[in-house]
Amino acid sequence: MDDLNDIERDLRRLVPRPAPPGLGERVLDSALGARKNTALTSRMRIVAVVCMVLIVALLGLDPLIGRHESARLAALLDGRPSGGAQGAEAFDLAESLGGQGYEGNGMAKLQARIANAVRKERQRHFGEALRGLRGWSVHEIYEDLN
Amino acid sequence: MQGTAVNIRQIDKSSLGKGLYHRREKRRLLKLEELYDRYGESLYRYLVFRLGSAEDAEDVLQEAFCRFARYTVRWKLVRDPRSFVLRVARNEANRFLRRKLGRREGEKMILSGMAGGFVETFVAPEEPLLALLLRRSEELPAEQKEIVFLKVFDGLTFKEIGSVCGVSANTAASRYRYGIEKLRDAVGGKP
Repeated sequence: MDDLNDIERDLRRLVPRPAPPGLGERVLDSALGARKNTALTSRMRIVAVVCMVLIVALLGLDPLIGRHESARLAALLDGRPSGGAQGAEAFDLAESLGGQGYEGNGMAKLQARIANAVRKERQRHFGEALRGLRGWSVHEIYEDLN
Repeated sequence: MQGTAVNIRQIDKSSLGKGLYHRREKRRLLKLEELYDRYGESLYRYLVFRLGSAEDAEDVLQEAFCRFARYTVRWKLVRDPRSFVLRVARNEANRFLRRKLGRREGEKMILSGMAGGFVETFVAPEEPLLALLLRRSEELPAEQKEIVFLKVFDGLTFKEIGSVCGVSANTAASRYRYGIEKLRDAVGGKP
């Protein structure tokens, strides 16, 4: 271990070549110049970070907002999907099935049958609503507008 | 209680918060002057050791400081500035060699460590023992030479050397031990 220390001590006696005069000034000048010419100043960096956070927040919130919206629509429709949408889906289904080998006549029949089913479904909903409203207008007092 | 308050008040806080940073114009900037005062000379010496030329070392030192100036966020994450600046300078020197000699030759030069060495870094000593030591240290393998240099002349710990050279602290320690043993054999028995 002493030998190791001796070698270290001898090595430390070596004298490094001096740095050229004015090295520090030259180095610092170029470094300060580089700092001025940075692509993103700190203000721009802050703006970039804020924009990034906003974008990420919007992307994250979008599904939540969509979910909330669909829940609100479902509540408005009393848990039932709208008849029009149902009918449109049925027509789309008929068309896609028609494209897979059904004849034109058969497709028209299928579409008519589906339209019939959708109409019946709507009538059924209407009947249910009427049944729900039965007796509602018994205690109503009509004003005589004349 | 009163005495404690007085003592707290009497603490000189002028030196607190003085690091490599200062707050100027509402911005936290790295004090390049202080960085140069602390590490500039040793970085220059290390780069001469790596590159073997004072002009190349100056160019690379300038590039390294330009890089330091551009690092604003990264400086806040640096725990050990000394090994960080040496690592950046080492990478910059390797990049310089690849640029200067071409990728293939540059890689060869980096691995062999033939670009620089002790002779280019230190003044030729008049004392025969030191001259012999300088010659023998030049003959060490590149990886041992670099670790001996960083340990002896920059006083880095093996952990710091490991983070500069990209090896583990144990590897750095064993390379250093082998290097010093070789020098001891060379100086002790073979003049």
